[in-house]
Amino acid sequence: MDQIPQLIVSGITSGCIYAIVAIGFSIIYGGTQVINFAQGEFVMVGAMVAAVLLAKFSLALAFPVAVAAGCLVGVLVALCVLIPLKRASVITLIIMTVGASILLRGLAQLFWGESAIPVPPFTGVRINGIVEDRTIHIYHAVVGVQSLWVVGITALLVLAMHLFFKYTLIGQAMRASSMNPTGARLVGISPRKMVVMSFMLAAALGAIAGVTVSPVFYAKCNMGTALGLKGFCAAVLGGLGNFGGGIIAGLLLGIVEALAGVLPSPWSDYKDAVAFVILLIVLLVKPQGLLVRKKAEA
Amino acid sequence: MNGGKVEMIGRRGVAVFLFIAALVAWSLAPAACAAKKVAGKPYVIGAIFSVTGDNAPLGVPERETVEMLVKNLNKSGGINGHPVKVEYYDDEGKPEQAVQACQELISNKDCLAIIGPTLTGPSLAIANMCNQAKMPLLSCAASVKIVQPVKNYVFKTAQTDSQAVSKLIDYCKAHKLKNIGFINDSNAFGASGREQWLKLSKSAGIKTVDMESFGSADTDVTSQLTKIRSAKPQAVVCWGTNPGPAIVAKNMRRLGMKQPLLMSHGVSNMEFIKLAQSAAEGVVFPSGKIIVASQIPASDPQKKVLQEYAAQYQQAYKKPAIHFGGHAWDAFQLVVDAVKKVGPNRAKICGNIASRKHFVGIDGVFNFSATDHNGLDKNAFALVQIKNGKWVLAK
Repeated sequence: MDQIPQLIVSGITSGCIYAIVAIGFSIIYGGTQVINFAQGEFVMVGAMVAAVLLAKFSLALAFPVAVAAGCLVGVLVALCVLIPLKRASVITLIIMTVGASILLRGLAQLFWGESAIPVPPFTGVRINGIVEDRTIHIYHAVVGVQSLWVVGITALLVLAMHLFFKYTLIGQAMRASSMNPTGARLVGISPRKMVVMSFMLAAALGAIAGVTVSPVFYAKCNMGTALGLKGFCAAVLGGLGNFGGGIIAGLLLGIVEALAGVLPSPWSDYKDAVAFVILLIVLLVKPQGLLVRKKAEA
Repeated sequence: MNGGKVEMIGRRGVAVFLFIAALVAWSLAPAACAAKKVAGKPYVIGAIFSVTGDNAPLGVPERETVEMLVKNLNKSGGINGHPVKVEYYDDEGKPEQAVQACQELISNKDCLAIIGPTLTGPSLAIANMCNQAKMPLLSCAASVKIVQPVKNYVFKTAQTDSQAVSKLIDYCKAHKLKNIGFINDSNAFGASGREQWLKLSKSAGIKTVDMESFGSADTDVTSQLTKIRSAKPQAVVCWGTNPGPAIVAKNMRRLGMKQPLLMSHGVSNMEFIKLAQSAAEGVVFPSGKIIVASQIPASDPQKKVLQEYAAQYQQAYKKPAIHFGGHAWDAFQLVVDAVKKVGPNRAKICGNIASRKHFVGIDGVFNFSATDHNGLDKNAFALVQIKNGKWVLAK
């Protein structure tokens, strides 16, 4: 039983990333009704760019550049969706994002290669010329300091998103546009701009998550697939478009998954499947999402 | 939605889709085989390696080794005046891709033999196919199941995992490590190692106090390791291919587990040291002798051939030769020697290899027989330890 605290710690680390990815799904879904399957690839782009830059430059440079690269990729994917926006059905657009994610993964593989790249932690100690993570002990668990960064940055992002959507003009415009597109257009909000904004925002979030988590997970060209799908599970469990729900579902998913690792082998091999099994059950029983009180207005 | 609109979207959508598909195909396509000038009728050898995907660090040196050998061979006149042409395929580490490549090679009647695949899963997927089509297959993968039970046309040059396991068990016995925690990757390589470990450790009197496994894509194995920790083993054995074992090493050190960590030949590449960083220190694993070529005693029969390959590879690719390229070296050399002797006939090539004795290769000294299509014993392995980020012979 003394393993439980340790598992919860590692579950929370993955859970934070799922939560951020879930928010990304919700932002884009809110703005466009599109489920953006390239969401995981935004995380990958952030992680890979940071990994490559950190080999030569400091974090102060690598972090913003990686996030900017993520934003740029977000805008490119947004354009993929925008060009046929008026004529295509939502399902076509979703398939476009699947295409975009395959394309991004292929390009990353081409430019940065196949192998996992180790990334130095934000605040590490130098051992034999290599920066390694510090650890602290909390109760029975050993916690890498980088995991604290992951949790802290996730909390900051969630707060920032909340303030952005509540108090800034752009945030309010995005909300208006997702609640009532026609009405928003009548008061002069450009839906196209809002689509680009939502993709950029989701991509920036993904990239920040990627940079923060890469020291824990390594950076790898195919890391986005699993993160994207699990983030999607979290978003659906929490109710698409519902930020708070996505965050709670993401954290829960991470923890349940880590706990599944203690199942006797060979069952522990299937801990990756846990998220999808939960998703299936929830979709069967409560399709509007586990954490949604009333049915969202269409 | 009205019909005309749908049609328009359709056309535009298809165009965009094709564009994306073309880009993806272009980005994923294996480098097209460069057309060389062909003098006379070339002898064709098929090669299936995992050049992309998780196991590219294994497949890439294999392909590079074959490319280097072919170049040298053709420069010196080929086989009895015939140039050798290698058809390369990339299976991405996936059995279904290997099957597809294998089908193409079997239907190519000029193809004399297939070298590869890199991994156990794909090798097992095509072994029976090759046997039925009477196509000699020289796998570069680890599992003993590829050549047991013996299939007439299927060989393998990579050392077998049972030999690696016995080498590690020797180490455990020598260092009085009696209680072992075992953890393996759930891929074919790890599962096969687990099976061999269970079989061989019991008869050696070693107690396996806990057995765990992890998925190849897992980014955290803390759950499994905490379970192993509570079973209080004297040492931990981890069987897998990167990056899993690196994560095991890192997580173990993070959990403050001080036990010696023993691994498989799956980590016999620089990649592991790069990923595990300081957690790689002290890890002991069995490996082909190539990575410690300069340290093995001069009395070793392989010394000369190992040093030659190491120097050639270093010169050609500006990086050190590793364990995996050696599998391809041996496979290629066996096929070339056979063709030289018996001519371009699949059945005769197979017969020649099956009776080959005392072939001094990179993976060891091979003695093939009707019942042993691997031809190696545990002396093919050296025990290597990681010290200060370098490989040294373990004591």
